[in-house]
Amino acid sequence: MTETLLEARSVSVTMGSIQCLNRVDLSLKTGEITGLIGPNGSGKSSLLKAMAGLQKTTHGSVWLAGKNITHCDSRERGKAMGYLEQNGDVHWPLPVKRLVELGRIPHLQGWQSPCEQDQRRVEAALKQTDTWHLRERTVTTLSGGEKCRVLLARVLAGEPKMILADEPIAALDPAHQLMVMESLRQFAAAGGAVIIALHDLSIAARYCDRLALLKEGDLIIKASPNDVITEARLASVYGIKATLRRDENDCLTVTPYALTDEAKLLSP
Amino acid sequence: MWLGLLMGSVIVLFFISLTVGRHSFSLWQTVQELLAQEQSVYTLILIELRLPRSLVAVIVGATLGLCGAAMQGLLRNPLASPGILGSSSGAALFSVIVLYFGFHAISPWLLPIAGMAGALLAIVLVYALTGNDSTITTIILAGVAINAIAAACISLAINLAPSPYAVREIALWTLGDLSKVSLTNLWLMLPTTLIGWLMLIGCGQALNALSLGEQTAASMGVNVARLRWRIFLATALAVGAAVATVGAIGFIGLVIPHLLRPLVGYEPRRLLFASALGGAVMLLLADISVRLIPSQIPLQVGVLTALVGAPFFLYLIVKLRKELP
Repeated sequence: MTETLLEARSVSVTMGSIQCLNRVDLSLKTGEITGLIGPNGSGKSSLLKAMAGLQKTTHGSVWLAGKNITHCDSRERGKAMGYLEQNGDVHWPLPVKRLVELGRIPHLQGWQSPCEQDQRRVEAALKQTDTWHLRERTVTTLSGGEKCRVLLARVLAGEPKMILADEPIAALDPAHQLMVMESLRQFAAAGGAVIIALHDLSIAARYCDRLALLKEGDLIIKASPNDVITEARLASVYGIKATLRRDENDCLTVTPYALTDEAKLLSP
Repeated sequence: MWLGLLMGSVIVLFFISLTVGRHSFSLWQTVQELLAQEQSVYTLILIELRLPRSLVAVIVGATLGLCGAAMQGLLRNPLASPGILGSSSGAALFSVIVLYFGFHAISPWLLPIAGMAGALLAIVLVYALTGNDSTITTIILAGVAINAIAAACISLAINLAPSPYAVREIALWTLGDLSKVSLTNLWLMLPTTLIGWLMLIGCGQALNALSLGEQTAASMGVNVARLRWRIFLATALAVGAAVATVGAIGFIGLVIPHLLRPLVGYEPRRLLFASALGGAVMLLLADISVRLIPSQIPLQVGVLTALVGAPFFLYLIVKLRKELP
């Protein structure tokens, strides 16, 4: 039985004079991967931040397990959700294992060091993301793909109920993209909820149970990938012409090949 | 292991600091006299001069190391120092004002109290200028402005000082000196220093989370704005008390965290305690050295930490440049 873990109700976000989100409704359910798609600047990151409780809303509210997120204890919020930042920076050359241990912070009090149970969770997260062999390495020596998986391990080590990931695979090669998406699929299959901002529409169609398409802060549609990704919608939202191909499992592959005539007029 | 070594060094250097000075005497014998409640010149020197001097060296060194580590962790910048927001120069300015007008003749307590007030005022001004939601860059810029204003006012005080003695007193005071501290100074600086330390020690976990940036730390349950002001206030309390007692001693808060970071696996939480011990070691070493270096005019301890610290800092920059691609 699916359960709603997190819900954005009519959420608007304004930064300065720019309306980043306009009355968006979206919910995260257990066992599901929700993909956030839309052009650059459409409000994907703002929505993720608002849903993670990191961004003040100018209208509406976000509800975590039936409670307004602004009234939630910040530690409880930290335990419930893992947030994977876009271009996640690590400011000190930490060893990988210690970095993944940081995921246990919401479970630790004051000066408490990670205990044996925490260590077991860290080890499991390292193995789950196939980064166990990197545990002694310094994070600054990792490749982009390795670092991304280590940061995912950090999130998994916190045993969150849901993961909010902001374009985690944007800079990865295809193999690493699939590895990260497989890890997220496993997480959802084990009863977690995932919301992920993506630019790769084929990956979004293949891995997400539902897609939410944003344009200039408006939620255009939320539905199954096959219903969301149509040639007409790609043209009107992204300004692209694309071939859509369905394989034997009814899974979509999207190949953009040209800008629409309207988009050409706007491009320099 | 490193922590044990640092702790051992603090203890050994503390006892060496008790024995080094113009008059040499047996520490063991003097302690025995003290226990037998006999009074001699040596027991007086030990209790009234060397004990407070050594204890203040430990406390001020630990404060500078701890605050430097906390500030570098908070700003995620290895070049941050405890005085980056103007608390040191605020404390220095207020102390200089007391020296300039000769208020310290009224009561010796006025000097440290004014120093602490100056440090707090600097932080209050930074807060008033930037508010609660500003970025770290805005806060640092406000700190730079406060530092510049305080430095200008100190220069003005030196410029307009009524006599060469006043100039000398102010100038020497700003160089940092442990030779004049008494037990009274120690008792006066202790409360605010301890409050500052306690406030900082509780920040370890949050500083660890900040290694991943402010957004991620906030997602893990860290209230970043509250953490920021807690560290700023704690630093003002502890560094303010330190500067007010012994003057401005530079480079310890900058160099020690940098030096010890690799030894604690770059973990900001573990660096706090290690840096506190490291700071105490460095200041004890410097203060012992100024007593051992033969010189007609006594060398100020702040001069020595700067003389050693600055070239070391240059070495760090060169090393950092080589490591970067």
